[in-house]
Amino acid sequence: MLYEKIKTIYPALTDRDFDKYVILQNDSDGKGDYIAKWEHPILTRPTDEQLA
Amino acid sequence: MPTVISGDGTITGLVAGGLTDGIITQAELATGVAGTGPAFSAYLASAQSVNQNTFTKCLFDTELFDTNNNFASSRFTPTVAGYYQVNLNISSDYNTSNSAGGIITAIYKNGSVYLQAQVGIGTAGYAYGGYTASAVIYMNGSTDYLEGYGRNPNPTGSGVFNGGSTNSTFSAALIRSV
Repeated sequence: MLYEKIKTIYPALTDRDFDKYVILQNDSDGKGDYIAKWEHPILTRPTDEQLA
Repeated sequence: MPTVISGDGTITGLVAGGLTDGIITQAELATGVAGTGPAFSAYLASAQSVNQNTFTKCLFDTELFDTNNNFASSRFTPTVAGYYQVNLNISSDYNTSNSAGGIITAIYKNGSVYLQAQVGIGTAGYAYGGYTASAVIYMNGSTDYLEGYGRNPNPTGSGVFNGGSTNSTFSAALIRSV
């Protein structure tokens, strides 16, 4: 799942970060999870290659 | 003289020539007479699996009522403009053995969060319950739509949106026209 992939890349991310800076979303349309918002002040958004 | 439409179907206050402006307003309805604007109520019939820390659209697949056929595919798109009372309740399980967090219930308008209700939970224990977000929301009667999302920081097993007519529900009704 996307959350676990991101946590593997950035283990320091906390659940609170997923409240404030990083929003993952699933529209239940069969397309799966995606990053709806990435506004972390330090960590850069993972690339598609990193998430593959 | 005010024009009054009563519940028994009688109309009083009309003068020759009809209404002055040809429009019966909400204020001119008699006491006890409600409008007939759109209203719906739906629920999630069976448990829905969600992934950790991911805002997930709840699939309200069973309708209790849908007076104006404005609810489809878990989306409410009213065809009458006005202000709607909106209620979203999502029932979810949460195991806090790993870390603290918050269960979020979020009303989405046109694909973005309009309002979210969050329940914070500490680092030890187990939480179960329905978490509700409610608001009065203006809808334009054409393109505006509403959906219900939930997010769980640490789901317990699968199916953490609990199904059943008394668990995860979504409803709205027109309370004031434009």
